[in-house]
Amino acid sequence: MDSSTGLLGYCQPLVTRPGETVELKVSSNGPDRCRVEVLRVICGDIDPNGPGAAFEAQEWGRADGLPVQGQPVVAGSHAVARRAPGLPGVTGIVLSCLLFPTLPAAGRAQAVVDWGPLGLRLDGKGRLFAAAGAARAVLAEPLLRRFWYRVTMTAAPGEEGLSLVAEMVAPVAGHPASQSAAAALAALPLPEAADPLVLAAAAVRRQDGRLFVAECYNGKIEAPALRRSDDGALLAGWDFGRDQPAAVVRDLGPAGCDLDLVNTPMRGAAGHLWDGSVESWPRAPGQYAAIHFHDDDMTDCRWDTTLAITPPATARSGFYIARMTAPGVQSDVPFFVSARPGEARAPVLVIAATATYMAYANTHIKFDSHNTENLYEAPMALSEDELYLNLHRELGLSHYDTHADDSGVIYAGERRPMLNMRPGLYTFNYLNDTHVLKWLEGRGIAYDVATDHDLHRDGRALLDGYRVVMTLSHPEYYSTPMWDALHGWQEAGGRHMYLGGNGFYWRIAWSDDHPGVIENRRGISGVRTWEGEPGEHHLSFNGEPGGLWRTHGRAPQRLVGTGFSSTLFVRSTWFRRSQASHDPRLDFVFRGVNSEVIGDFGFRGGGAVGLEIDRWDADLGSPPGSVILATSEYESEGALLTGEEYITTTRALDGVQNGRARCDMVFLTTAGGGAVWSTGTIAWATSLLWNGGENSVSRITANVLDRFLDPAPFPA
Amino acid sequence: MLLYDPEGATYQIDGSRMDLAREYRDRLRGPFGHELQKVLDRMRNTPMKGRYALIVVVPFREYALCRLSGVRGVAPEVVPGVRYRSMAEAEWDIFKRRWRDLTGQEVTVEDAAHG
Repeated sequence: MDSSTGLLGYCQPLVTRPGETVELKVSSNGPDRCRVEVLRVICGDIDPNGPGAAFEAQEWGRADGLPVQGQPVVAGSHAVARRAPGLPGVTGIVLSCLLFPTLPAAGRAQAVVDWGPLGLRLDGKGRLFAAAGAARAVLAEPLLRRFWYRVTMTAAPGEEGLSLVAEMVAPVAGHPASQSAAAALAALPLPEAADPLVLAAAAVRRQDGRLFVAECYNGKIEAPALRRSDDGALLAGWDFGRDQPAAVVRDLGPAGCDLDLVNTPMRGAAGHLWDGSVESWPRAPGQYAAIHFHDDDMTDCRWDTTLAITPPATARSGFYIARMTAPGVQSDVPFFVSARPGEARAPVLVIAATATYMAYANTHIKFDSHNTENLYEAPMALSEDELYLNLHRELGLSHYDTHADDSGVIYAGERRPMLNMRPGLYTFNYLNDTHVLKWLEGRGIAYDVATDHDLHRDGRALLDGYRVVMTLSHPEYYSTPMWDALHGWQEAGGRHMYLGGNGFYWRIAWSDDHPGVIENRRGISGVRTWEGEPGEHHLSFNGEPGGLWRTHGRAPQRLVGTGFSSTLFVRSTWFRRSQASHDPRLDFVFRGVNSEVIGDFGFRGGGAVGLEIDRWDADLGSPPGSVILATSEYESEGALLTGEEYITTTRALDGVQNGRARCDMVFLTTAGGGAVWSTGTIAWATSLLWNGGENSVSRITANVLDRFLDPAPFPA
Repeated sequence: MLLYDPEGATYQIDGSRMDLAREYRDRLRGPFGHELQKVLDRMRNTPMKGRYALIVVVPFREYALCRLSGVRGVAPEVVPGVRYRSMAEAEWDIFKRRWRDLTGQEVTVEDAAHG
C-alpha cells in the first residue's frame, strides 16, 4: 500500500468554479518530484466490500516531474505589530497587561511579549520573568492556571531597573496575592528596527526573511500596553474588546502599531472584568477585552504554491481531488468545483457539506477524547493518516478536539492538509456523501454540485435556478445565511431532499476577515466532545449566539420537519411505513416498493437507519401538515438520546426504552408550493448503493426525486 | 470547564463470570445482556494512557495491536508480534486482555473462529 502521507497538500481556495484557479500547495516528506493528476470523485469509498470506488480522470490540471520540497508548518496563534514604536529619547519603558495563563507549566518557555532584547515570558515551570538584554527578573512562584494576574514590567536603568510585579486580580489562599522580582539594569537595551514586536510567541527570523514563531503562549492576554517610564506616555497599546470580528487590532497609541492576528486566536473571550451579568460580547465589550491564544491554533499553513490548477469553463461541477503520486506514495488533495449561480446545467443541485468536512478535518478524537471508544463501542483502528496527524499536531485541530490547554477548538481552517476530507479510510461525511454521487451517476441523473461555501456566500441566488436541491448525509454545520437561503427557497417553492441525519444542527459563522475559516461554539448543549466556557458562547466573527440552532428557535424540525434525536453507531436498523404513508397522495414515494420495512440493509451497520438519526416533533417546529412517512423500529440500547432531548436525567434513555430515540422519515409542503423530504438518518445515503443500487432505499429516493422534478404542485 | 475523568469508571468485573465471556465471544456486536454491557462499558472506559487500540497495517486485511500513549503527539506503542486478520478477531483478543488486566483472571473459554 502506498503512503498517503509522503506528500501532503491543500488547495487554496478549497472551493472554486469552472475557469477559476486553485493553487495546489504541496509539502513533501520524501519525494523530490511528483506527478499530479486531477480526478473527479464519483465514489471515494475504497472498502473492497463497499459500493466500489470510482473516479473520472481529467485532461486538465496534470503535471509530471513536478519539483516538491518540504514546507514548514508553524502552529500557534500570536499577534505581530505592523511596526514597533520608535524609542528616540526613551530611556525606560513599562509594559503592562493582564494575563490568564491556561497552561503555565508547559515544560518549555512561553513568550507573552517578545521584542528583540525585551521580553515577558513564562519559564517551563510557569514562573513569569522579565528579560532586558541579559538581565532577568524572575518571580519565585509559578502562576496559577486559569487565574487573572495584573502584570507590570519596568525596564529603566537602575540598581533594580528591571522589575516585574504580578498581582492576582482575585487573590486566593495559599498563593501570594502579589509577587515581585527585580534585577540591575545598566541601560535600556533597544530593539533593532528589524525586531518585530510579537505577542503570545517569540519571533524567529528565517534565512529567507520570513517570520516564524516559537515559544507560543497558552492563555489570555488583556490590555497590553507599552509606556515611557518617565512620564507614562503611551507608546503603544491595544484594547482587545474593540473590533472583535477583525483580524487586526488597532493601536491606541500614536505610532500606528496595529497588530495582525495570526492563526486566529480566540476573540470574544471573557476578560478579567467578566462577571456573568452578560453572555454576549457585543453587549459588553469591556467584559470581553481579552484574546485567548493557543500554541496549537493553526488556520493557514501559508505554503508556497506548487501548481496552479484551473478547471476549464466546461468542467463539470463536482468533488475533485488532485492525486499526487511518487514512488511508494499516493496522496489526494480535495477541492470542489461549484456551479455558478444562475448557470444551472442540470435541474438538480447537490450541496457538498464542506462546512461539515471542515469541522471534522484532522480530528484527533481517537487519541484525545476519552469517550470515543464508548461512542463507537468498538476498539479504535488507527489509519496511517490518523497516526501521522497525532505526531503532527501542527496541521491543526478539528471542532471535535480540544487544545493542549483543554479549551475547545472553535476555529477550523481550510488552508492546511485535511487528511480525512478525501478518499480513504475515514468513513464519515465526505466518503458517505460520495455514495450519493455514485448513485446519481449510476441512474444517469444530471446534477450540479455546489458547496456550503457557495450557499453561505451566494444564498438564494445559488438555489433559484434549480428544481431540486439535495443535502447529503450530514449537513450539520449551518451559518445564518445558509439557513435563511435554504428556508427562503423552500418557502418560495423550492424542493429539498435531505438525505441525511443530524443536519442543520450547529450555528456557525464565516468571515471575510478570516478567509477559509469557520467558527463554531459548542455552548452547553448538544452532543459535544467539549463544553464551551462560561460566557463564551457568542461567535466572534459576527456576534451571533453560537451553539445549537435549536436553542435559537430554529430547531432542524422547522426547516426539514425532523431534527436530531440520537446517536446509533453500533448497529443500524430500518424503517417501517406509517399508516399515514398509505394516503394516496403519498403513493409517489413508495411506488414499486412492496414491503412495509424499508432499508434493512446498508454499508454502515447493516441498515438505513443509523449513525445519527432525527425525529419529528411539532413542539420543536415540525410544520402542521408535515407527515411521518416511516419510523424506525428496534433501535436497540445502542440508540442514545442526545442531551437536549431530555430534561431530567433518568434511566430509560435508550432506544429500547425511550420512544424519542427513533428516526422519522418526513414529507412536508410549504405555503409557497415548496416541498421537503427528509430521511433523517446518515445511513440512508450509505444504503443507496446496496445490492448494486437495486433496493427500497434507492427506489424511494428515485421516486421522490422524480416527483420533485415534476413541476406539478402538490395537493394540499 | 468540564473535562473527562480518566479514572471515572467504577464498575467491578467479576473475573469468574465465564458465561459473560462466552456471551461476548458468540455475539461480538451485541445486543448484550445488561451484565455484559456493564463489563464492556467498564473496559471501554480505561484511561487513554495504555488503552488498547489497533493500527491498520493493510486496510481491511491486517491490524496490529498497540497501546495509546495518552500523550498528545506521542505515538502508540506497538505490542510486538500481535496481528489480526479482522476486526472481530481483534475485538475478541482485546476483550480477553482487558479481562485479565481488570480482574487478574484469564478468560478460559475457547476461541471462536472470528474473522
